[in-house]
Amino acid sequence: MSGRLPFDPARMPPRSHSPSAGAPSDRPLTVAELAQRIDSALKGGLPRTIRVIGEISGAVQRTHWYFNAKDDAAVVSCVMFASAASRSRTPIENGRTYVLSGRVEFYAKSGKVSLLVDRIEPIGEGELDAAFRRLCEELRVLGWFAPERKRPLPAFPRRIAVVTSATGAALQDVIKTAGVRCPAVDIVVVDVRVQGERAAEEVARAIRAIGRRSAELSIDAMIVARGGGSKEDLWTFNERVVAQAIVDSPIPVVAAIGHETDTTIAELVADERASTPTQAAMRLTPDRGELLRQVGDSRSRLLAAVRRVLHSETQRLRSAARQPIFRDPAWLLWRSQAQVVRASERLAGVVRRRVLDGRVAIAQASQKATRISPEVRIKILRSRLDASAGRLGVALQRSQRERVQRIDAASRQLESVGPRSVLGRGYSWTIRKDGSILRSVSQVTAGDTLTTQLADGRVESVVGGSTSVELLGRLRGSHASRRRAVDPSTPMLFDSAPPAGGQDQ
Amino acid sequence: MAKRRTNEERESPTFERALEELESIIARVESGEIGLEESIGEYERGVGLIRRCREILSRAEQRIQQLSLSDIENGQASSPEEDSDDEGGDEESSF
Repeated sequence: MSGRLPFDPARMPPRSHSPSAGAPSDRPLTVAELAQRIDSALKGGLPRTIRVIGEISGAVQRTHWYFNAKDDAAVVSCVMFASAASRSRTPIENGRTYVLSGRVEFYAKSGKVSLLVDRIEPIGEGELDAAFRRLCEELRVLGWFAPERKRPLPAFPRRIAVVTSATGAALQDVIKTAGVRCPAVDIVVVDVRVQGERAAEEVARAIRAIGRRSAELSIDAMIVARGGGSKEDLWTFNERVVAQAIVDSPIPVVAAIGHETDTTIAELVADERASTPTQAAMRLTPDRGELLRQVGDSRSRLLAAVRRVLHSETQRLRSAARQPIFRDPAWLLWRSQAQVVRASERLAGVVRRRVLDGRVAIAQASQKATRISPEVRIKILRSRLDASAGRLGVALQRSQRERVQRIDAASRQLESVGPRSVLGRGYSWTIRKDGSILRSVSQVTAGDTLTTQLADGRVESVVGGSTSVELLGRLRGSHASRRRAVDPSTPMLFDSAPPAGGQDQ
Repeated sequence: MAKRRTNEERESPTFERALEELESIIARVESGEIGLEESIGEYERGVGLIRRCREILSRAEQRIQQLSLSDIENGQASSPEEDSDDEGGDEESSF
């Protein structure tokens, strides 16, 4: 015994690994070592027994049960060994949610972490309610329950699609109610699972397919229905996929899930919520009797309206027929004659009136003319003429006076500058025999007879000789002699007489 | 398919469309704004629409079509008009 140590697996690993435990951490672990560490980390980090809520999928039930527990975000593989499975009173079903109890283990041979399940329980009311409230809150925030999002139902749908189980009581209720109210509304049933695995997905797919083909198949509305059941049974209609499909539907959706007291998300997002499938059918199928009455009313109104038109047109026709023209065609001729007579009378009246107007005008004019006699006119004209003559005389006299004054003034002015007044101051002019004024010495020769005009008469003289100006220039010192000689030859005499004369005297 | 349906719609409108048109015809005739001849034309159209409405309502047999999910997803199923216009022939005498 002593030579053979008893094999104790519990003690072996630490011993064999003890050198490595104290060794530097950069030595690579073996895979087995890693697996061992993962396992102990899991055991150390998690409670011994764990409770998990999850939907079951991929269940394989042989000796042991293998399945996955999942939710929207994660998947964990689960094993329920035969001993535990045989004791379980809850049969598992894919697509349903359970509460699983067990412990987490790392199974080194396959490298998988699994939940070793001891117990499976159906989900409790509390958990379901919590999940329902969570989704409600989420969808309310998204506005999916908003009344303004909901569409009105058609008054007379051509066809209604019913999404439900073909074998369920809900379908029979819908068909029966619709048939009683209005058999003319067609029904298309789309058979789907309404509970259990993939039920929510099927319902959602059916709703989408109907919406896609609604125009083509003349489907104007749809009913999503399910009969009564437990909270879990109805859970399909609390799934988000179903709610999303209803919200996306192009045609109005009426939902009737379970009994009156049950409320599901599907009903909250539907365009109309019905308490039962029967109610849903009532909402969507029109009342045939009511519609027949309505059509009957329309018929009566149409008839009445047309009769009224007929009546009023008949009246118009009658009153037209009563016109004289229709009773006696000669009336037309008579009427024309009457018109001619009236017209000529009017014309005569106009002419008469115009003649009268003319006479009145003439009378007025002649009256005006006789008011002024010729005698009076002559008197008036004469007095006017006298006045004019008087005025003319005065004017003539005035103008005469003015002229005389002007002439006097002019002659006075003329005299003051004229040759005669110059002669008065002692000047004279001399003319030759031929009467021309003597202007130059050269014009005379000795023996010529000249006549000199003085202020008071003329002097006849005979030229004894003449002296030119050159000769006179020597005598410049004597004013008088120079003047005497120059005077007769200066034509400026009349213009500058006063200064010349003034200087002279 | 769509073309056939629009043709069909003109000749045999849906109940709602027929009733709507009937109402507008009545309103026109009641207004008295259209003449006798037009009123009579409208009246005749109205009679046709009333016949159509009664024809639809009087269908006694309920038509139910059952489809599986794959039927509806894969384009099975027929539109309802295929055999709908042969009924109500005896309704013509009722107006």
